[in-house]
Amino acid sequence: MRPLLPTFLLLASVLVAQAAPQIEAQIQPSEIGLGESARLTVTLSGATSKTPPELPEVDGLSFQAAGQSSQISIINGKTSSSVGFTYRVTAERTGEFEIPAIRAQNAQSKALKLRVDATGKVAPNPLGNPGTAPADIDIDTEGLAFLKVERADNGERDHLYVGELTPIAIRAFFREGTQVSQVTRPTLDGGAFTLHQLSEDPQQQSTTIDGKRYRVLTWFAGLSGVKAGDEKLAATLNATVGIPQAPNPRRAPQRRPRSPFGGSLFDDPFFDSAFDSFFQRMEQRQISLSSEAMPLAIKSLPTENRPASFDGAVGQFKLGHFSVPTELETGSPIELKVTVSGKGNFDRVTAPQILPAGKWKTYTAKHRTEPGDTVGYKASKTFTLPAIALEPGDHEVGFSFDYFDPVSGSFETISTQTMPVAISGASISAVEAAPQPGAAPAASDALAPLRDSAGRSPNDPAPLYTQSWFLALQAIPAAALIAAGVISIFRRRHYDPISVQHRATRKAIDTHLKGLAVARQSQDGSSFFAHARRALQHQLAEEWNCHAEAITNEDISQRLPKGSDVARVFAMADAVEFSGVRPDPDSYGEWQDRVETALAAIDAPQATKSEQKQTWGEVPQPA
Amino acid sequence: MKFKLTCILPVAIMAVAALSYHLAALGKQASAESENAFASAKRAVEEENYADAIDGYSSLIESGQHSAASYHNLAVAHHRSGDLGRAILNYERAAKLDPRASDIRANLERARKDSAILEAPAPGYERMANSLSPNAWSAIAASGLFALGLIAVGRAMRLLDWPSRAIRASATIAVAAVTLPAAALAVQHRASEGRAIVTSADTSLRVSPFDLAKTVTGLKPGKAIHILPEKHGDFHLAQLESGQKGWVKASEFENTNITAK
Repeated sequence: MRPLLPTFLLLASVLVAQAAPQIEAQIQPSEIGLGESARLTVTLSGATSKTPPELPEVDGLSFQAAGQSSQISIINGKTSSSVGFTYRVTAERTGEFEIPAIRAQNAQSKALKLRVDATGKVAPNPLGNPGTAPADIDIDTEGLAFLKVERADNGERDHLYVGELTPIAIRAFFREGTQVSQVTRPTLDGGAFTLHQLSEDPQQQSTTIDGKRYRVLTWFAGLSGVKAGDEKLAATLNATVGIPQAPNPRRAPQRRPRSPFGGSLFDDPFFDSAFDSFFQRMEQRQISLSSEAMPLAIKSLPTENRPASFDGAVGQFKLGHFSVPTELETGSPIELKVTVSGKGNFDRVTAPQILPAGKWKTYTAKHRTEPGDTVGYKASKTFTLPAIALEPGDHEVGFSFDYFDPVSGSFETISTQTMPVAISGASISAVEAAPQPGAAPAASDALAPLRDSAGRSPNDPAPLYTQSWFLALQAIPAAALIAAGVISIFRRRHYDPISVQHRATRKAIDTHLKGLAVARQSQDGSSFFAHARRALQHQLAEEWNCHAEAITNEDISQRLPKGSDVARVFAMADAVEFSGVRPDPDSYGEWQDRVETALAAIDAPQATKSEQKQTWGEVPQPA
Repeated sequence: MKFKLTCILPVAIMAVAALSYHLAALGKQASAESENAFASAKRAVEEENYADAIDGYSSLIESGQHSAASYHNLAVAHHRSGDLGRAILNYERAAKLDPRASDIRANLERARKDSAILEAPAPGYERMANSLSPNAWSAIAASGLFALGLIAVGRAMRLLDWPSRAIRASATIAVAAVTLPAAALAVQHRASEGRAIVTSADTSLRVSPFDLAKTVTGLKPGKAIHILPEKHGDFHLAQLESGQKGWVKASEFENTNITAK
């Protein structure tokens, strides 16, 4: 019972931790000299947003944001995220300062203490102290970084089986104080192993080993052995690392003082925070990290007791529930769904066999995989299996699945519970149920069947749209489209009511002008003025949008200025017609000019019509 | 009596659409001689005499029998004989002629799986464009253009007394029937232009166009490559899906486009 207690407490703390965001604040170092700076790190775990925390105001201290980092981890399908905010803390005076609890998203950290003494004797500089690298930093370049490959099973087994998938973590450790600018993704040495779904971006963490702080980049992947043999597992990666250099002797007065508690603590590069390092001189080095070769045997799968339907699945699996109609007819296609879940090489997990064997014709199953982790080791694969019942009768229907269990080292066959299904109809053979060309291939046969007939083939295998005859054929509808456009334009112009009226008016006016010319020749005053009036009536009718015959002398006097040419022609026409006045034959020419001028003025373009209206009446009077 | 298109137009459009579709699918029916040769090659596959089967189907194709069935069965013969490169090549050609055939797609998928070739899934619009053959898309576009022309003429000649809303709707459908297939054909053309399949077992993507040039990477039979226009002697510049470029010998790949011999 006693060993369970810590586990329970750990689980409980994890559950509580997941319930609400957590905030953690650290200040390092907790004692500095005046003019130096400390690093304040605020880490928000499980936060829903990346809003920076509210920093308290502390008299004598100033906080300057120095960076932000975020981290998302997916472990066994569970996602956790944290956001880190880094601040540089500088003091304006000596003394002991208390930084109150830092709040963010309903969480608060513990209060922190910072002691500032006068050892440094350097005026505070909010921009930092470029070049103030610790005087006695002593980084062992041999131990700057190293690479480690860890198996999820902690090496419980000294062997893998061919095809078996096991999750691994490849961790690159970099001493804090170094700047890692470029890191390649790790690769495995040799060709005996392959990596599956190696994570794109490494997870970042910090850890302490032998009292030294390291930044750890972790990649997760599935490892599988390709060929049998005694192999060694080792990984390699390349990185560009900036190593802090010894300070310039000329800057010796600006050195950070040694700790009053002894040199070793602050000599550790861990205390050279990222932003401190930023101001230091760094030597860039290309390094290649190789992990220690880990002996790992790869064994072939045993051939003894290998089930006939074993298809390469290695791991530990279980079958989920399935559903099937309780009544069926032979030859009627149905779709059955069944799920295989567990851990192992899911890319080799094929559809379970439907039971009773030999009573069904099955076709290629569709499948959908729900991953349970990032490397595809834990998953749930659901198969949708089309099947046709071949034999009538009452059958107990279920599924079975064969796999190799690498832990027990033996082949296992698991089955679902069976369900009674009544199948009616006549017995049909598997050949009769074979798919026609165009249908999905049978699962029992690796390939879809051959086509029975050569079928039709195009005269020219090139696509139709590249063949000239096809393109030429398209010219017919294209020409019809163009013709339709032309016809529409023509019709719009020809059958437009305004155009029709205009053409009729022009025709009538032309007729009357011709009559007017004939009457002038024959000195027929009555006919001359009648034609003049009719021509003007037609022109005015179009303008006023009324019937020509309806325009009278009275309309003219009301709508046109008094004494206009039109009014005078109308008045003269009335006088000739009703009063027997005979105009001077010599004046016919002037009257004709007057009529034509008036017609032109009325028919003037729309843009100038308003001006014309003003001038109709201003035509010079005949002598 | 004035001739009206009102009732005739829909019938005419449907008739042309059907005609175009059949025109697209239509081809010469295999002669009795071709069918015999086809059956003989099929028997050879069933008897596991793959060399004869491959010769038989290849001869049929060279004689002009460019049917999906010929390419599919040729691919199966290659597949069963273990030549996965040529199997994938001919499955792809068969799929071009009959993109909706699930047996071809299933076998192609199987061949890629057998050769451990992972093809990145095509984007959705490309999958939609590849749901019909180029000829089917061409037929739809031709029908749409015909309908558009007929509606336009009927409207211009006042032979169509539909309400203007109905005319507008019909014209919109016809325009869509032209533009969508045109877009699909453009996508298909872009995806298939220069697409080739590695058919030789010892194919390398070389740094420069020489036999002894350094290898960028090895190419498995069945691997799809994109052949670029640059050529040097027997070597063609090729690009992989990853963007890597290099030179490949002409004898080591075949274009997936089907051309008359």
